[in-house]
Amino acid sequence: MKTLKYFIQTAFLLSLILMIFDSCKTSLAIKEKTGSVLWSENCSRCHYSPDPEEYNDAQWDVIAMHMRVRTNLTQEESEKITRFLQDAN
Amino acid sequence: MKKLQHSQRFRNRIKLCALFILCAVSPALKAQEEQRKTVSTHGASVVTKSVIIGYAYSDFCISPRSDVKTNFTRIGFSPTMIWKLTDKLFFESQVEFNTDSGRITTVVEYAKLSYIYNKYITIGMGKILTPFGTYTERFEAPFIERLPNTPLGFRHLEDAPNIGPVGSEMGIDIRGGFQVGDAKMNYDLYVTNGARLNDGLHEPKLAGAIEYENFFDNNTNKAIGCRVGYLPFSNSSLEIGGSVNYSKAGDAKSVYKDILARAFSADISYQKAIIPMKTLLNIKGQINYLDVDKASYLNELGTAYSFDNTSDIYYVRISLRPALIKNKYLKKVELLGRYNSANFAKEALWGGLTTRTDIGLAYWLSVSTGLRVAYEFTNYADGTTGEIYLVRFVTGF
Ligand code: HEC
Repeated sequence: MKTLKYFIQTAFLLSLILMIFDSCKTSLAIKEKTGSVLWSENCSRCHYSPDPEEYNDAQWDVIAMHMRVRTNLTQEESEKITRFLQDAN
Repeated sequence: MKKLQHSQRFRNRIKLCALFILCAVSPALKAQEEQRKTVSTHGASVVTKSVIIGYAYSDFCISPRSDVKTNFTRIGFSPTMIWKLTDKLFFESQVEFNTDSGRITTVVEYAKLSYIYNKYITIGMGKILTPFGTYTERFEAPFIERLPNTPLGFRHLEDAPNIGPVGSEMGIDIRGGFQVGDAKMNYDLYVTNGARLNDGLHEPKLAGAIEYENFFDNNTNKAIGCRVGYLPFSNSSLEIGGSVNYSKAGDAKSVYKDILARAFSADISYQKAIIPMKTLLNIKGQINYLDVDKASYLNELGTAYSFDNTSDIYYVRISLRPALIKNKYLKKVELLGRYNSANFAKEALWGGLTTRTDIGLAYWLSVSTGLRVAYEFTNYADGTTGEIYLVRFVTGF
């Protein structure tokens, strides 16, 4: 069990180092991102994200508000993502 | 006695609320089903303003060392109603029915009315999931938590010490998110009823323990807390957060009335597609630290004692899922490892260090439905160990 514990902790540390290096690569500024990019980057941070077709436009409207309030997304991100979901379903 | 009657009354009230919500929900469910079929025009928000979501799960447990070796231990069902009342007003409420410890329990997990004041400020009030760290608010829902169990100490249990707020509390919060260059920040500020100190008069074994689900305040002091989250990269892959919570915990007018509980937390969340390995990497972690003023309590023999009342709990979880490969079975498999530690105040009657290692596997049938199995190995504070195999079937809807 001790080995397992050290394994999980070492993996955690290694991943931390990796993530710093990896994420330093520049990606587009948030302002320039499309709704679909923002959706793929933000909506699977906590859970796997349902496809746009899973809900209709009206339902996405309500869910987007729920997620904006729950996860503190910025208004701009939330609006772009909602538009993408409603256009793509 | 008074306390008992009070909690009985409270429970009855919650049951009534649950019944009321269920009655309200069933026609809505039907209507929603019909709307799903008929509404697809762009911007039809005028038609559907509420959505019923939620989750359900069922647990099975194998304990090789126990007398009862196999057990269907728990089912849970949580209908959740989310309601966009206007473009600025939003209501959310979740009722949970479960069979915790062999009893049927009904709880209002949260019920919160939020008002979007402007781009940066949303104000909410009600029974709120305390934004202390991230676990309770973001990852605890069983269709989101990828292991069939919760990290040690991060789930609210009756008669167990809380190391920082876990679960929900009555109060008010102000929250929002904004950009800082290419990075993002978000904040939550809140005032709640706050901590309640167990003075040990009724349960000497729990003297000095703190409980945060204080639905009816035991003193005039309110807890103040905040969490600040920072997402340094513009692809939002990493979020680190820090939280504090200050609260006087003793009953009004008692000798403990000035006892202060200070809780701190740090959390991390990272997810990334590792393209060469065709794998999704996901890391979550949180540490809570609680410092309660020193005080004198009576043990079971009536002797006074005091102790250094500081405790911490933490977990780190790593998962890998080869979701980008072609094999349609393997891509649904996720491997998980989590290390948990609960280090309770050493000299308290409830104190000591317990650690647990969880190794698990999730098989995803859809984005929110899956089968989870895990092996958990625990080192208890008294030097004994325990092992359990857990199976959970869960769906989010
Ligand atoms: C910071 C974490 C987090 C992020 C980011 C997030 N969600 Fe969620 N999501 C949750 C939680 C937590 C729930 C479960 C709510 C509950 O049961 O109380 C949820 C539930 C949902 C549900 C089920 C219905 C509902 O509204 O509860 C959908 C659909 C959903 N999220 C879509 C999204 C979309 C789309 C995005 C991107 C805009 C998103 N989520 C981003 C945490 C998150």
